[in-house]
Amino acid sequence: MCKGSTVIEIKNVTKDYKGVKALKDINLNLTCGIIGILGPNGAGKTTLFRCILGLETYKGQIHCPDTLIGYLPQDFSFFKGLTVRESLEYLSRLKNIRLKDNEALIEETGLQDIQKRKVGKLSGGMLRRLGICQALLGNPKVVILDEPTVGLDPESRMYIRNLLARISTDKIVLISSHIASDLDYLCDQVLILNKGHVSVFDTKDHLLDALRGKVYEVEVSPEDVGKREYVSLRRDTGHVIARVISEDALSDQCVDPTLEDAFFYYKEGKNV
Amino acid sequence: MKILQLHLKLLIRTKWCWLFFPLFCFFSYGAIYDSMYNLSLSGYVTQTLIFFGAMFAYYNHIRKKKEVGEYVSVLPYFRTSQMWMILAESIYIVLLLLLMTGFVFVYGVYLGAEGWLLKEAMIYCFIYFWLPCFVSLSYGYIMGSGTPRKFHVLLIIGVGLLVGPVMRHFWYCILVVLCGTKIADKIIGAISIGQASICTTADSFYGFQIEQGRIYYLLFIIGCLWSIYFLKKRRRGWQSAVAIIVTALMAILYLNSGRYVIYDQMSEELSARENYDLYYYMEHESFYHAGNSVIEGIEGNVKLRKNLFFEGRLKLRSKENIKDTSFILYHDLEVKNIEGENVKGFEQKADSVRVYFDKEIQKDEVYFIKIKYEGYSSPYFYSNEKGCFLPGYFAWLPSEGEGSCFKVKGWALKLRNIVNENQNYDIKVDSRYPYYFKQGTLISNNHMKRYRENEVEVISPVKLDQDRRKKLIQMNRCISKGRIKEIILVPNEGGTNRIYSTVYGRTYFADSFFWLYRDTNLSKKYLKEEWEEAVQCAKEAP
Repeated sequence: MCKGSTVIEIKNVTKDYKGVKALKDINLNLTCGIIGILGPNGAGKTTLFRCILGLETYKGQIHCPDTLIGYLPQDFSFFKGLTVRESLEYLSRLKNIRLKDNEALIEETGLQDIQKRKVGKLSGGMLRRLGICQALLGNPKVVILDEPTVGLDPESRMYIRNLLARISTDKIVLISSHIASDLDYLCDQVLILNKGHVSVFDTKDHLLDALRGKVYEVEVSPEDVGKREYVSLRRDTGHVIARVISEDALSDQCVDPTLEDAFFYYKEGKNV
Repeated sequence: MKILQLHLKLLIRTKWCWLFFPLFCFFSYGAIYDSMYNLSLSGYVTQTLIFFGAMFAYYNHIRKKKEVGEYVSVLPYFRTSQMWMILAESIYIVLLLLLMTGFVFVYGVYLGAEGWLLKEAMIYCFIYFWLPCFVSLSYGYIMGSGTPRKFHVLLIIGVGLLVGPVMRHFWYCILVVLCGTKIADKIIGAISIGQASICTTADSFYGFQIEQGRIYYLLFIIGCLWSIYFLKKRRRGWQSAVAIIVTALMAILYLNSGRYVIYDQMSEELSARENYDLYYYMEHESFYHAGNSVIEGIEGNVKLRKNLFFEGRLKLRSKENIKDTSFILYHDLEVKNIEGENVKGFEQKADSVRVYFDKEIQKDEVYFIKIKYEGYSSPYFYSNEKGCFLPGYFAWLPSEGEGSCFKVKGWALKLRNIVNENQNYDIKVDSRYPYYFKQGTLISNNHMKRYRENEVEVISPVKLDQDRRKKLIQMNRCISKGRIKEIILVPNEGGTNRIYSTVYGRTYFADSFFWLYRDTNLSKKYLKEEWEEAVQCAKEAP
């Protein structure tokens, strides 16, 4: 439905927090698909979301054609005394929609069996599912998910990743995370933010293609570990294997780049 | 409506909110057990409600902030939901208060209390339970609307103690030391939203302390708090406008509600009431001259509401040839008009009213003047719809002579004996309550006549028993018929005006009779010795 056309237009957006610039002159055109937003802590991911939602004042312009935006905050919670069903009822009313029209969504998010359970009794994974469900109530065309998998066990993370992959058709879905592997599975496009700047914004394939042939796994001695910056380190049968990005061809094994490599490579604003 | 319903569910599921319910029951039960007629534990109930209202509102605001992120604030119907939330909390509180008030009502009906008395009890509950609770609820909202701080709870408790009845005397004493009685009275009167003290009882004779002005004042405070709340929340739309308009309206109504006088010792502004006349007569000359005319009769209509209205005719006989005459009328009763065949004008100065004539009135000539006045009598004397002594011990009806009603000796105030007991009266009383008169002079309900019988009549919502030997007055101001108030009139052989206090600390007045005031159980049969002892006590009262 919205494929290809710009749905969120962000022009010259700057946000100051008492003199500290959280966002610096952001210009973006966000289109349909799942957009992963990567950035270290304090990069401005949540601030950007809050600006899009209208929770913050800012300089510049943000044009979002749909007023109903689904939002899952990083620390989602709801009245602990209400049940899952009642919470969804409540939030449906706030969105001026009927919950009965969203029964399929409840089933999709795996909440149908815990509808009578109080929110206060939900596990972290269940609570996050409830958060995703409420964000998707009313089928909004723009969905913002702030760190949807943080703090969850691998099973819950996988469930949520699969869930997001299923439900994110015909929508613009912004997912922030500092766990690049989570986004690797989901994203069409990647936005890397660092210190309030857009380091890079492109399709995942473009970013990875640009790194192809530049990512190596090299064996390093334990003494050399701290001497250079690596993307990652892993132990393999008594050796330390380091993942490095190099413009120069190395004699070691060249490997397929991942989003983590891209994040490491582009966070300082390197050109593709 | 769904959001309202969900909020109510949420409140019902909040366990600590129910902790207050047994407390209400305890206090209400205590009130009944102690004496239903004066809801004497109501100070504790009010103080509990003051704490409860503020903590309830504060906690719910904080809970919303803790449990629900601000993301909901961008949803289209968020603001409407806020109003539903506040409405749900108000309904919850109202239901709790209704339960409590209903408890009083059902118990009163069970005991066979009269309808008008139940109505008064309900109004009392409204003024002293409901309104203070809503004031503290509004205050709690304001506290909860800011960023939560640890000291907020302490502040809520502190303010609760400041405005509630528990610590009122304590604050009053401090204020008296700091700024004197007059200012202390004003400050304590302005900040207090409950009873005058924790042990205050509603006077079963005077009635409950129900004043229209008090309702306006409390509504004014609530309006102020809501205006602050909306402005703090940056809602400068219709909500702020409505709150400000209502506040202004209540302020106007309060300012126009006039002064009220409480004729009850343990009531509002205790010190102010006691000192009111003392200060006045210390500042004004205290004297008495015999008049040049005798008031032989008074007839007219008395309208008793919050204050007293009189319109009637005085029959006077001049003692000498006069061009003017004077009579005594308490200074807070303002003379509106004096007319008569030869009346040229009049002048009211302190407690004296001087009437000027066109032509000289001859000695022993009988003449009539029409007079109209309204106002309040001294705080010591009943003269409104709660009760009124007729013709009384006091110059709320014109009395002969010129001078002041009281004389001051040091810091003591003494009532002048200025009432002519040989006057004739024919007075109709217009009151919202049924009035009973002493048997023998009753013409009909609310109409009294007396011709030189040399005895004092009582007009009050009390019923006199026909058995004149016992001279029993059943005080119908008690809800419980099982515990009834009894007043026994005992002939006062001295025949002078006397004032004495009972052990309850209340002041009662006696003229031709002493009043023996007892809180007694009618189911008990008194031994003859007990009865005589009580009568003796009354006679010997100072």
